[in-house]
Formats: sequence, structure tokens, C-alpha cells
Amino acid sequence: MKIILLLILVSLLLAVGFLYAFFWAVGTGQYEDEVTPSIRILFEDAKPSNDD
Amino acid sequence: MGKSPESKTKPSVLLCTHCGEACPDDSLSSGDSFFCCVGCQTVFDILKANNLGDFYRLNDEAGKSQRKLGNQDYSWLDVEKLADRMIRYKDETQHHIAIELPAIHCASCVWLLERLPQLLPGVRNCVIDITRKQASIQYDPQKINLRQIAEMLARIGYPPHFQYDTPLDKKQSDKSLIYRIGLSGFAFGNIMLLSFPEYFGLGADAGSLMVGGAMGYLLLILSLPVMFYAGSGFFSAAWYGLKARRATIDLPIAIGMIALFSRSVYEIISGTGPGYLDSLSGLVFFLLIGRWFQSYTFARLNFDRDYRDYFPVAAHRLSPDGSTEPVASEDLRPGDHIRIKPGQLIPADGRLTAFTKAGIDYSFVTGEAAPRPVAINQEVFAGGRATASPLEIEVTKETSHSYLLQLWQRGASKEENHGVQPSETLVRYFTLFVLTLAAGTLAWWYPTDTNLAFKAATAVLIIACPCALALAAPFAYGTLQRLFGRQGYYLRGPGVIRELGRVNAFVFDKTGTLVDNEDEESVDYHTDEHTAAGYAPVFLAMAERSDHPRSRAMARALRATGVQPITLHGLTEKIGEGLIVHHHGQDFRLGKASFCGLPSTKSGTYAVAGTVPIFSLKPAGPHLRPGGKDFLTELNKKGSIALISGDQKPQTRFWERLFQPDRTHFNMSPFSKQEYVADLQKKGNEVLMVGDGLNDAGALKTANVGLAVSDDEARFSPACDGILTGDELHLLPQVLRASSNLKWILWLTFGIAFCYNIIGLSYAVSGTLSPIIAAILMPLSSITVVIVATLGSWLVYSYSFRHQGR
Repeated sequence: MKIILLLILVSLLLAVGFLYAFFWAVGTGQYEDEVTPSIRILFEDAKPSNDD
Repeated sequence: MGKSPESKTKPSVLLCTHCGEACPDDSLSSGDSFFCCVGCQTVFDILKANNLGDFYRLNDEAGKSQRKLGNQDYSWLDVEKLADRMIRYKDETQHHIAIELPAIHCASCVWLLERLPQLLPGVRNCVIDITRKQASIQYDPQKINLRQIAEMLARIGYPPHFQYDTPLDKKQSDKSLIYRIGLSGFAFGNIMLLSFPEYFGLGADAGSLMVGGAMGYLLLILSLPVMFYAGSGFFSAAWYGLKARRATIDLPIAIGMIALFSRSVYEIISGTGPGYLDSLSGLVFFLLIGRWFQSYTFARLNFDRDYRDYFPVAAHRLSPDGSTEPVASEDLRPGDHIRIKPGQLIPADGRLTAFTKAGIDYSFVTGEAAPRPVAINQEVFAGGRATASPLEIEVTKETSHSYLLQLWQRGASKEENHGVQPSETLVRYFTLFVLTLAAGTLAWWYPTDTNLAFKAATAVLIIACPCALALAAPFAYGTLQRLFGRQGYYLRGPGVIRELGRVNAFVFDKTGTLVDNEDEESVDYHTDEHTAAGYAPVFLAMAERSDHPRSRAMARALRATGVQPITLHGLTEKIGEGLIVHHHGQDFRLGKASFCGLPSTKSGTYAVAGTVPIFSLKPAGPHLRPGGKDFLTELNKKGSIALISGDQKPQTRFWERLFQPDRTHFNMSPFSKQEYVADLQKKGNEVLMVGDGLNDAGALKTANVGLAVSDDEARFSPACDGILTGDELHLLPQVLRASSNLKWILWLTFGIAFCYNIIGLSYAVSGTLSPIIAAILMPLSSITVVIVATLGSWLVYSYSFRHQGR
């Protein structure tokens, strides 16, 4: 039965990892602007176009 | 150019490469691109020179016309004290700023502005937030300064708008709420998961692990951050409420939380049971979600504009030797001499000391559009705009004491809390009821079974926790607030809806609110149309060169007939009279009848070539916004409607027919508007004020609900409870109906919560409330209430707007 306790602790550790990831995402402001990144990803990296 | 007016009506129209608007002529070009104004051409040239021509490929409507943008003055950013206020972070090698760029509107803007480092060496990074129209810029102070950045942004068509307080400060508290929600959600899920053996009656099989074992302590550890971090807000709110002798909803919540936690701790430590920690963390989780849902705001709108957002941040102070230095507006002292450039606002009350030719446009303050002529030594007021030439002013009052700003300082300031909490009476009775019931239960069981007595009494406190009571309103009002947003009604907070459901007096401003400024007038020809068409381009060019509202109306009316202007030289403007230009051996006059050499008895604006009147501006009746009359009649059934306007009383009795004559008021100053609203309130009315300009600011603030009408980007709306776009004004009756119908949904949710509570309490009083029943009943009642509140408000919304066909 003791093995259950270990499993529980491991699973909790994993969950804490996700909680930390969530805190990190909020802390670095990833939820603050939900529109611009979706626009930014569509721009080509290759820059200069010398048309005409 | 020098073409005769007759030959100048071109069939094909040149479109400006930058902004896509029609070019007045082909004089501005580079390569095969043409431009409508120098501003657009400058932007184009800068972008081309820096290999940023792709800007035009990404979007056909990438550029915005530069014609309307005045020359912005950013020299005050050289003053370190002022620049520092804008800088968020600073060290030796880098400065960080966040500035508002109202011109941001599309993907091309993002593309271009994020390549700012290419345009300006020294700028390290520029990140755009398109929703907030904000740029976060990092730059190297050794290589570039804030003024250079601001000037470059203005040159490429994104003049920054500098504010005293960046809205960034507010976000800190929002983040903490998100953290709390995440944490309590984490604890809720895990505690429930770990309690599953208990739920299925397997606790005994798990033996020493469950009751009284390691598991209990594990759950206790998980619940500690919920109790002491995530839920701490409820305790402090309840405590402050108690200190102020007010019963807030937080009080019964805090009582319930304490009962839940102490009972659980007792059970776990004594090994008598698994505790109610799942219910505790679930309760906190749901309540916090309710808080978050209700704190929803429309990110791109600002409801808290105060005078500092309108007023210039800095002014030019004149030194005795004639040079000027930029100085912060609030540092202006009586006796200072300042210079105001044309187009700028006067930052403080003062006395006019020098001008060449000047008018001051007070439309910003009074709503009256015509510029007023001025004289030396005349008193001028902060908020006026210099129209024609620079003014010099001796400051007589500090900015914060100016006449206009009294609007913000006078009158009752509105309660800041725009949340929706159940009324104090309800909470008081509820708390008293729960406490009495708990005491009664204790007294009933105590003689027979002491242990059971405490168990049952705490169970009463636990199960009666008013989760549903606290959640119903935020979700019902919050949902409706979001739905109103779809119709163009952006309310500051859910609490405004409750106020909207109560209003019974409606007060409107006229110009800009009920009447839109477009399509007001049309051209009335005095010669045959063919001759008139030949002269029209000259008059259009004249009209467009002036800022006078009559000229603007003339320009609009002419543009509407399809005329294109020509290029003119040597235009003279006589303030308050009209415009005159000598062109092809003829005098062209545009203005008052007397100015044009016509009998001065005639009113209106005339266009005269030589002595021949060509056409005049035919005033149309007041042009109500779409659906204007119908919605006023509709509102009249609900309560009294009144009109208060800063304009002159018009000749017609148009408005008296719409409103009662005794409720139609003209020539109202900003102060009398405010007093009018306050008077209505004194007579026991709940007042809804709808206005637009700064001249309505006081009335909007005083009214129970102040709605600001805005046709533009909602950028320059005064402080208010809600912003709506002018075309949606006619939806007001529907909005009001939905707001007042919402109370039925609230009663319904209260009824449901009541039923759950009766079931729960019957278990509790009899001392048979097991943790599993609590763990099912409490989240279930919360979820039911949330669903009913959300669906219900959606139904109320669709029912009220059912004829809208959306």
C-alpha cells in the first residue's frame, strides 16, 4: 500500500510542475495580448523586397 | 499649376498610394506613386528608403491619411522630469517605455512598427499590442532619446499619445487574481482526485492511509495555500466590512470558510474523518472565478479619462529674453508667460497678452463650435484651442485650479465600486439567519449528544455558505455586459447594468449625441449647374483650407457632389467673416452674406465669384441619428426625457415637439448641465445622462449612469460609465429593457440556491451531513447557478433585442 503514497507524491509533483508552468506563463505576460501574436506569426522573415 | 477652374474637373481620380484617398491633384509624386498630402509622401519615402515598402503589400488600407494630423510638438520630452514620467524602467544602457499609438489599426501597422529598430538605430526592440494600441519600446539612451523616437513615430504616421498614468499599473492586481484562481483550481482538482477513494466508500480499504493517515495531512497541506493565500481576500474584505459596520457578502463567506477549515483540521488531526477540504477549495475556486468574470473590461477602452488626458502635458514658457522652454503644465505658476501654437490647447486660465490674428475654439469645453474672436487682455480659459495664429498668455491660475477643472472637482463623486454585490439588507438577514440556525442546532443537540451538537452546528455554517448568492449576480450581469458589447454598448462594469435597470429620467445632449454632424447641409445653386460646376473646385479648395465649421460643412457638401479641389495660393481668412482668394483675375469669396457683398439680412454661407453668387449652403433640418425619433418616443413611455444643449436656441420648434418645451434647454454651460442633472436627482429621479463632449463631463459624472457617445475610436470620451457608438444610440430602449428584466433571472437563481440550501440544511441540522454530500451539493449548486445565470441573461438579451435581426 505504501507504493500508492509514492505514486501520489509523484503525480502531485507533476501537477505542481504544471501549476508552475501556468504561473510562469501568466507572469511573463503571455495572456495579456491574445491578438497581436497571431498576426505576427504570419509575417515573412525574409526582409527586403526591392520591387519597382 | 495654373489651370483654369473650368478645365479642372478630372474624370479619373488619383488615389494616394499611402492612404488610398483621392488626391487633390498630381503635384505630389515619387516614381509612379501619387500622394494626397506631404505627410503621406513623407511616410512613403521613409519606408522606401528603409526597405520597408512591403508595408503596402500586406494590406490595401495600410496607411492612414496624414492630412488631418497637425504638427505635433514633442520638444517637451527633452525635459528630463517629463520624459522620466513616461519611462517605465531605466538604467545606464536601456530605457523601457510603453506608449499609446492611437493610429494602430491593422496587421501592416504591427509589421511596420515592430521594424522600428531598422528605422531608428538605438531602438532595440518594439513590441506592439494591437488591442490596446500600445507599443513597448526598449532603446539605448546613449544613442537616441525619447523625443527622437516620438518624432519618428509621428513622421511615419503614428503620433504617440502621452498619458500621465499608463494603464499598466492596474494590471498587477489582475495578475494576482489569476494566480489565486490557478492555485485554488489546482488544489480543488487534486484534493477531489485524492478523495475519490473516500467518495466511493473505499476509505476503509485504503486503511491507515485515508482517515487519520498520511493522506489527511497531504490534503491539509494542499489546502493551506487556498485558505491563506487564494481565499485571504474574503477575510480581509469581511473584516473591513465589519469595521465599517457593514454586512458584505464576504462576511458569510468568511464564516463558512472558517467553519470548513477548522472542522476539517479537527477531523484530520483527531482521525475522526476526512474533512471538507474539497468543498473548501471548490468554494474558493468558484468564488474567485466569479470575481474574475465580473472584473471584465474592454481592454481598448478607457472609462477613466480625466482632464490630464485632454490637456497638453507641457507648455512653452517664455523667458524674458524671448526664448521659450518647455515646462510641465502643472508647474505653470500665475505670472508665467506661455506661448500657444495654433491647434494647441490652452493649459491654464490666463490673460491674453499677444496675438496676431486669433480665434479661440472652445468647442472642446462648451460644445459650441464657432471660434470666438479675442482681444488683448481678455480672459481665456484652459481647454480653448488656438485656431489661427500663436497666442501669448499670462497665466493667472494654476492648471489644477482652472475654471474647467472645477467640473471634475465639484459634485458628488460616484461610488468607485462598479461590482455587483447583493444588497446589504439581504446579506444581513442571511447572516443572522445562518448564525441563529447554527446556534439553534447547537442548543437542540447539546443536551443529548455534545459531539453531534458541534458537528451539526458547523455543518450548518458550512452548507449555508452563500456561494450561489455571491455567484449569481456576477455571472448574470457579466454575461449581459459582454453581450451589450456586441451591440456597441461598452459598459464600464457589470454594476452599471443594475443602475440601468433603475433609471427613470433620460437626459440628452444635442450636438454629437442626438444629432450627428454629417450630411447636415446641401448645396443650393444660384446659377445654372454647369457654371457652378466650373467654379466649385476653387470654392472647395478654399473651404478645405479653413478650420471653421461652416467651411467644413461647405467642403463636405461640395465633396458630396463629386467635386475635386484645385491648388490655391494666397488665401486670406477673415476670422468670423469668411475667406477670400484672388484667382485668375477674379475675387472668390466664401463666407457670410455681408462679407460676400450681398444684403446682410440674408443668413447662411455664400460662395461668390466676383459679384455673382454661385451657390450657398442650404441648412437642412437637424439630422437625427438613425432611429432617433422612435427611440425617444419609446423612452418617453419609461420616464421623462429632457434635452440640455450648449448651443444657441434654434429658430425652429423641432426640439420642443420631440421633448416637452419645459424639458428643452439651450445655452447650457457645463455647470448648468451638471446642476440640471443634480436637480432631477433631488426630485427623486434616477438619471441617465447621454452626452459626448467634455462639456458634458460634469453631468455624466453626476448622473446615476453616464453614457458617452463616440463616433471615433472612443479615444476622447470623457469619464463615464459606458461608451457607445453613435449609430447604436437607438438601441437604448432595448438595452434598458434587458437591464431591468435581468432581475427576474436573479430571483430565479436565488430560488434555485434556496432549494439547494434547504436540502443541505436538512442534512446539516440532523447532523448527517457527510463530506461527500457537501462535496457534491456545494459545487453542484454553484455550477447550476452559474449556468442558469449565464443562460438566463442570454435569453433576456435575445428577447429584448429580438427585432434587431442579428
